[in-house]
Amino acid sequence: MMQILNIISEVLGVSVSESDSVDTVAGWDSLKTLQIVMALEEAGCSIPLEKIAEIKSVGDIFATATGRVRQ
Amino acid sequence: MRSIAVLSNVTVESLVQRMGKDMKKDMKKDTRVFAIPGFDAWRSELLDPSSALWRDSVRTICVILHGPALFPAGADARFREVLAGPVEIIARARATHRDKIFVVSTLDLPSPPVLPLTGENFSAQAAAFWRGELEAMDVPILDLPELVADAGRERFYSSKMWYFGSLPFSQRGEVLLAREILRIEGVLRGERKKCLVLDLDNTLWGGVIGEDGLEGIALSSVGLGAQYRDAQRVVKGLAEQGILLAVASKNNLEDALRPFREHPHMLLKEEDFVRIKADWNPKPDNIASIARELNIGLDSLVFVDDSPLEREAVRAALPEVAVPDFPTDSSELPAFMGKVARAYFTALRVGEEDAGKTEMYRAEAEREAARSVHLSLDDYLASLEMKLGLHRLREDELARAAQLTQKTNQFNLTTRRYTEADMAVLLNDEHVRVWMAELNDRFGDYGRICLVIARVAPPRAVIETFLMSCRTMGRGVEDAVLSWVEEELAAEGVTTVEGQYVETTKNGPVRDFWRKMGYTPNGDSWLSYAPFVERRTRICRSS
Repeated sequence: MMQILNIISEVLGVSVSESDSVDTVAGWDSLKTLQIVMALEEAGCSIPLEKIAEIKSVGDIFATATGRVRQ
Repeated sequence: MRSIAVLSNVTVESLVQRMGKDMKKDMKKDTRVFAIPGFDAWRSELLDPSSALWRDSVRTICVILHGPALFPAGADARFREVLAGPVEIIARARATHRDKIFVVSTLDLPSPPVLPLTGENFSAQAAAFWRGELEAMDVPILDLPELVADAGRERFYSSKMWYFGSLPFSQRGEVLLAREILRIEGVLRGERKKCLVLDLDNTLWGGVIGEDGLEGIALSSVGLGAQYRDAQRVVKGLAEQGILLAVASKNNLEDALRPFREHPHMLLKEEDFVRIKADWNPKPDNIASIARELNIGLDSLVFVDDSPLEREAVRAALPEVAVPDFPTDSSELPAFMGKVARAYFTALRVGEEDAGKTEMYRAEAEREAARSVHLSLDDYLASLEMKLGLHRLREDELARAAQLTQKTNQFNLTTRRYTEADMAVLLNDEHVRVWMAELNDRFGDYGRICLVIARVAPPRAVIETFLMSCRTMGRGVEDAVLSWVEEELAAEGVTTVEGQYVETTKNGPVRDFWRKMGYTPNGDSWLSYAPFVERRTRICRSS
C-alpha cells in the first residue's frame, strides 16, 4: 500500500493519503490518472483497462490494482 | 525563451510533461516544450500557415510518428502511397519555414503477427523506405526503432495505454523518448563536447602496463582482450569525426607509450591524440592543463577512467568536466564507450572542417614541445618561421569575416558583431577598410585569423574593430598586423590613428593592448601619430 501511495504521490507531485481524490488534489486530471496507471504498470502493478476510466480517488486505485509493487 | 514543439500522430501530452521535468537546469532556464493538441492533428498543423508552430520562439519541431498508427490495418504493398503524403507535408513545411529545425522520427513497424517464412515483409520495407526519404531530405533523425530495440518492444510500449488513451508508450518508453529528444536538442544547440580525456590502464587495455609489461596486458582481437580493442574502435571513430583525444594517466611516459608503439593490437596510435599526459601529477591538474593548452573550456571535456577515486577527484576539482561512471563489468566497456560517444559527442553532421582538426591541434602540441627546448621566447618565435599575409577583404570572405566577429571574444577590442550582410555594406563603403590576415608557420597553417576594420578620413583613421583568434595570441602577430595596417593607412595620407577599446567580461586579456602598442590615452580612446612606432617581431610577410 505504501509503495502504491508513493508512486501516486510522485506522479502528482504532492504527498497524498488514502482519503485523497481528484477533488482534493489540485492538478489531478485524466492525464495524471493515465500517468499513475503507467507508473504502476512499470512497477509491476496492473489496473484493468475497463476500470481506468472510473478512477476518481486513491481508494479506487487500491480497489482495482492487482499485483505487487516490485521493490 | 525558445520552444520545442512536439507533433505526433498519437497522444504526446504526457511525453511533453516528462520532457519539461527531465530537462537539464541550463536548458530549463530558457526552454519550453509544448505539444500541439488534437488527436492526429500533425498533418493539418504543418500545413496551416497560422499554426502556433510558426511563432518566432519555436526553434525545433519534433515529429514523432507511431508506425502502427500510420498503418492501422498493417503495412501492405501500397505503403509508398501511404507514406508519400507525410513525406510531402514535411518537405513542404521545411521549405517554407527555413528558420525552424525539423527532427523526424524513423518508424518502428512490427512485422505482421502472421508472416509466412517466405515472401515480402512490407512492414520492414515501409520502415526502410521512410528512413530513406528522411535521409534524402537531410533532415535530423530521431531513431525510434533503435531506442525500441535497446529497451525491447515489450517494455517500450504498453497496449493498455494505447487502448485507453491512444498513447502507445509505456512509462519506460516515454522516459527514453523524452531523454532522446532532449539529447537531440542538445546536439542542435551545439552542446557537443570537444575532447575525450582517457585513462590508460584498465581503460584502453586490461592490466597495468608498468607492472604487467607489454605481453602481460589484455588487448587482443579475440577473447578477453577484445573488449578493450572493441572499445578502442569506438574511440577511434570519434577521432575520425573530429573529436580531440587526450590521455591522463598515472604512469611513466615511456611505459605508457610502449603499447601505442609496439603492441600489435593497439588500434589507437600516438598520432590520434593531441596530448598524452603520462606522469605522476594529480589528474585534475593534468586535465586542466590539457584544456588550457588546447584553448578550450573545461566544459568541453569528458573524462573516462576506471578508477572511482580518480573520477571523484576530477569531479570535485573540476565540476565542469563531464565524468561518466565506468562499468564495473569490463565486458560492458565497448557498449559503455558507445553510450559516451552518443551522449556527449553526437554531431549534427560530420563536416569537412572536422577532418583536419586533430592535425591542427597536434601541430600546436609540437609547437609547445619546440617552445620547451628553445631557451628564450625570442628564439622560440624565430624557430617557428611564421609567415603573415594581409589583404583587403574579398567578396568571397564575407562569411568568414562575419563569423570571426561573431565568435571571437577574448582578443576582440570592441566586440562589434557583424552579419554577412553588414560585412557586405562595410566592404562597399568607400570610407571603410577591412583587412584580413592569415598566418602559417613551420608546423602548419592557421588560416585567416585576424580581422581589422578602420574608418578612414585622411589625415585621420579610426580602428573600430581589431580581433584575432586566441590560438595565435602571445607571439607578436598582433604587433605585426597593426604595423602593417598603419603602413597601409599612412600610404593613404593618414597621420593620426585612433584605437578603440570597449571592455566586456571576456576581453580582459587585451585591456592594455593600445598602451602596449605605443598609443597614448585620449579620453575614451587611444591615439598614435605618424611616424608610427616600429615594432620588432619574428614574423615575415608573405604578401
